Amino acid sequence: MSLDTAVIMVLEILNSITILVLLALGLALIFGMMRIVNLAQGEFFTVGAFTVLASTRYAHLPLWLGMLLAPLVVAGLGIAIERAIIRRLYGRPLDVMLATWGVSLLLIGLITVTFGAVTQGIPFALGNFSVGRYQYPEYRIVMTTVAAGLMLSVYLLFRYTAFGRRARATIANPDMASAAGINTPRMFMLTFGLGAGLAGAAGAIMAPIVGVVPTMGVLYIARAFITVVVGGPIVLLGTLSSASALGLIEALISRFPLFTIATAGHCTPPPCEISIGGSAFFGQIALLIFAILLLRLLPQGISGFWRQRQ
Amino acid sequence: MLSVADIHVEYGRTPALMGPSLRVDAGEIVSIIGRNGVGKTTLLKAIIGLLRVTSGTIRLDGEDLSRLPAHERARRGLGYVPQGRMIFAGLSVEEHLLIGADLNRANGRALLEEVLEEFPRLRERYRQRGDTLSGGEQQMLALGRALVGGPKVLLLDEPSEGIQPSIVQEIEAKIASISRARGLAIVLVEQNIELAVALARRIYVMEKGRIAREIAPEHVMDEDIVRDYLAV
Repeated sequence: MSLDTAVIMVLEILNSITILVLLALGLALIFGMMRIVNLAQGEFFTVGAFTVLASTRYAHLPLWLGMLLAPLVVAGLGIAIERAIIRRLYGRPLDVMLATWGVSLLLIGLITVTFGAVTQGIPFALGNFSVGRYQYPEYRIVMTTVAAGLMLSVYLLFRYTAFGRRARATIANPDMASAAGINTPRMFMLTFGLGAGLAGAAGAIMAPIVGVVPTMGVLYIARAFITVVVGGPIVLLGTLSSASALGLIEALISRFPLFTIATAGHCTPPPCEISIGGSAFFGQIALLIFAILLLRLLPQGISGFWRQRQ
Repeated sequence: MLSVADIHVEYGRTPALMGPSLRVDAGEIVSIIGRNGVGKTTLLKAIIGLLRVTSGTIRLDGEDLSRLPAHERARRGLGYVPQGRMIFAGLSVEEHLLIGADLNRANGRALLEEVLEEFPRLRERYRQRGDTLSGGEQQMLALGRALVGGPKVLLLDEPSEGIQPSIVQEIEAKIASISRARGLAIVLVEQNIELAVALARRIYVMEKGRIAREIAPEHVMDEDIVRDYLAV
């Protein structure tokens, strides 16, 4: 493999990892710290993308401002949903799933009524840079930088601030935390809002490279959940390691044809065969199969396996 | 200082507390003793607000706290050191103490320094994770976490449980000196009768969710008390 091909390959792996990290980070926070399954997380992503669409197309704001606005809008939406619905359902995980599924359908409906059921694009001005014989989109590098920045910020927030200290105490033992003076309902609300805001940020960052459509969340929620479950109980390192493993497989299989299967019938041009591997479709199938295998071997996820070894 | 009057708590439909009343004044230590399962821990949980009382009042300096959530009671001056210590997994000694100090904006930092003077072991372990400490050190940390908030009343649930005797003595001495020095009121739930007697000015004996007797420490080993309330 020549050097430029190798560099492109590394960039593509990095891009797959970036997308999984962006999708999974908010969900991992809500699932890992609050132990609730939020089925509306995909729509938080969607609302983030539509915030960018609305603020650039209708309010004529610059793209970067729309992207900064999106996580704030979605965090506000998340906090409202926590206060109105989820707060009443703590300790009832199945009810939370059902309620957030309802929220998800409601949000899809509202967005469709408001913006229409068509796919819309968000134009942006970045171009490509060249790597030897290849061209590579500059925006992907921006995405990776933002994803790394978000992870680092979440780490610093939970590790070194009073908010993070209180949130971790609340997650470790809610009763003791409240007896020690921590307003635990408020911590749950803010953590949920933060998880929602991160999904909003992901939707905003990915909006220019995907079609913005009311049902877009559904396309991404499965990969987000797979990444979180494979990551296991340690929120940040688990998500990062699982996104790395799954992203690596996805990028490799998307890139390289593995083998071909002969098929019957007449083809133009012959021979009749299907190539397995070498497209994004097979990349996602490989991701799913690899995730299933990983969970057979490590039922507690990757970071759960680390904990057991300790 | 703290007065609890006729509080009732139910677990589901089963009554757990049936109207115990007690009071404790500034600088005073009272103990609650009784057999397993008579409601001693339940009583402390009801006072701090982890269990809802269906009736009765819990007054601190005259203000009724019985409808407030636990964190509001902590902010008004109740400190809680639970059975089993309840150290936050993954948090360092420093972080535990800072959570306590957050309660007291005015002089939390000064109190933190005071606690580290009182418990030098916590200073030695300052950056270490609380859940990696020994039992005795964890008990000191749980005490420290409550004390840095500058409470008026400390609720102590079985501080001697699972701790080696030499450390129990050390902790006992600290509790007595802290109460004297700060005028801190302490409600001590204790299975270790010797400890309860050594520290307390008055002793409440619990039986079936009620306070059955209030006695002076020197009468704890009287025959009728032991037979009726303590012997298994």
